[in-house]
Amino acid sequence: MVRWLVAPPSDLSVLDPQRGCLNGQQQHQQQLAHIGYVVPHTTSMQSFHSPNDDKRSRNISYIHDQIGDHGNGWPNLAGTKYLTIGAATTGEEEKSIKEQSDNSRKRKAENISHQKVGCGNTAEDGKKHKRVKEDRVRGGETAAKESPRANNKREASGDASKENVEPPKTDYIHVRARRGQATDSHSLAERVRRERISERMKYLQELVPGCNNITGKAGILDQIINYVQSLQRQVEFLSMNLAAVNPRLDFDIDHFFNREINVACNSGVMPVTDMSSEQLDPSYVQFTCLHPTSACCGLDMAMDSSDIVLHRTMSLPASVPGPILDSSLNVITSKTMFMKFIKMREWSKSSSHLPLVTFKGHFQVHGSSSSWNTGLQNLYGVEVLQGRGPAFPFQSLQGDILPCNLEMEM
Amino acid sequence: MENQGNNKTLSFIRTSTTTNAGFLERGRRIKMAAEMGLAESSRGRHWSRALRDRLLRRTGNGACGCQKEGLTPSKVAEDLVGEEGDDEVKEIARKLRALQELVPGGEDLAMDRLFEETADYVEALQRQVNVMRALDSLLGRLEKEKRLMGG
Repeated sequence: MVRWLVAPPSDLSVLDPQRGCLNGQQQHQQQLAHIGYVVPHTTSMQSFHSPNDDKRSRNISYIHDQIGDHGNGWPNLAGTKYLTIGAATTGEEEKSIKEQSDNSRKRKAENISHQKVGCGNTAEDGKKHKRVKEDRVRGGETAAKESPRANNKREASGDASKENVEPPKTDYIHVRARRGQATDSHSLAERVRRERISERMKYLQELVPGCNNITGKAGILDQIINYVQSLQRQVEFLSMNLAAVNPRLDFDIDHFFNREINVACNSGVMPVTDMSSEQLDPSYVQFTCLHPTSACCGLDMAMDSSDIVLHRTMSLPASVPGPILDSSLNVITSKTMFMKFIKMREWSKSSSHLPLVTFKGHFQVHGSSSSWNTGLQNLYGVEVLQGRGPAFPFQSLQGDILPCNLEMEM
Repeated sequence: MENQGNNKTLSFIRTSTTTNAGFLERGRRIKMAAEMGLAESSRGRHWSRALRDRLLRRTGNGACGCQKEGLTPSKVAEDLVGEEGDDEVKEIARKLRALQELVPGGEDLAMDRLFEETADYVEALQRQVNVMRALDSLLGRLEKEKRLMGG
């Protein structure tokens, strides 16, 4: 006989719905850092949760705004003659200066000092917020500063005027051609493209730890490649570890790959008592929880993205957690969040054995379907005998799942 | 209690009991599942689709909308490097090609898209590693407790 009890969570210390996403996330980040997890870069985290605060959010909004949009996340800048690209930081300015000097090597070299002066003059009103935009309408807060590039044309007035006295809040993209340089759209677009590439490289540089002090492009690329390789190796190593730690852990690959994985939210709790031929009494408990997308901001990264289906083949008193929360942290794109399926086989050796499936829920569900509210079909089953539940290190999920305790008695 | 309703419930029924046999095989399967999870976590991304296709051994159709845009590694290398010598350009081109091979689906990506995909892929990998570490420690602790309990 299986009886399900739903009780409020015992520990709400970490979970605080009123607390801002950032705070909890920072705290959890600290926790993670303490335990030695890979802590993602702060700017990228912040950008996920407070898209209005950081300039990186702009970049991320472009980078991640890719649903159904392949390669068009960044606006197409070809064909415009007057483009102003705001420099985000002084470093970027310097880089732009360097780029300008790079470009000018193709022609007869320019006066770099004039470039600097030009940049300095026009940049003072710039809030260093890099905006590359196509259309002319943008929110006021993001309005920014473009700092047009230095114009080295001495004969500017007579020319197809490159002087652009734009108000700081224009949303145009302005690029000034330099003296002696062709102003056809082709080379301008090329320049813009180069800038796009270097901007993305800069973002990668911030993402990859330990390459902030490396200046050469080759060195940065090296670090990126090493980091990606090391992450892939870590995944492989951890999966081997999981196989070693749990000799009974296995995946039914055939089923796994034959079905569609993303499904609407479902809370199914289906315990089935089964008198099998084994000497023990197995009971099958099946949790299916698939939660569709909700803009889950504040969802902790640690619990993200793993789609592991755990299946214990042997009976164990411990229930298998399988938080397979696949959640999108990006508020802007709002990727889907998947809950994973845990199938557990529990049995009790003696009649008094009470497998207790509890999890410290630090979750909240915002606007979830009703199936969530009736307790839980969640995935963090941790079981221990008789009422003791170990705390998860990664339980500090903020934000989207109802906290609940699940008890199962047999 | 009955299943509350979704027809698409996955059921993974495995009746065999494997002990130590096939440790490597299990590890591979776990890794496959982990990569599948990685791909699922960022749907809509080019690398996620490519990874999924590779895992399911499907041939990717070219109709994913990504265009090459004619940017080869050498050309971009030249852009990036600027004034440096020719061998440096070649070196950077080599590294870019290596990056293309690392990121799933990177072969058909233009350079700026490649960097975008790399950034997203790196973030997803970080998340994946975190989850797996947490899972690992949790399961390890459970096993230890089970042993302590004389299970």
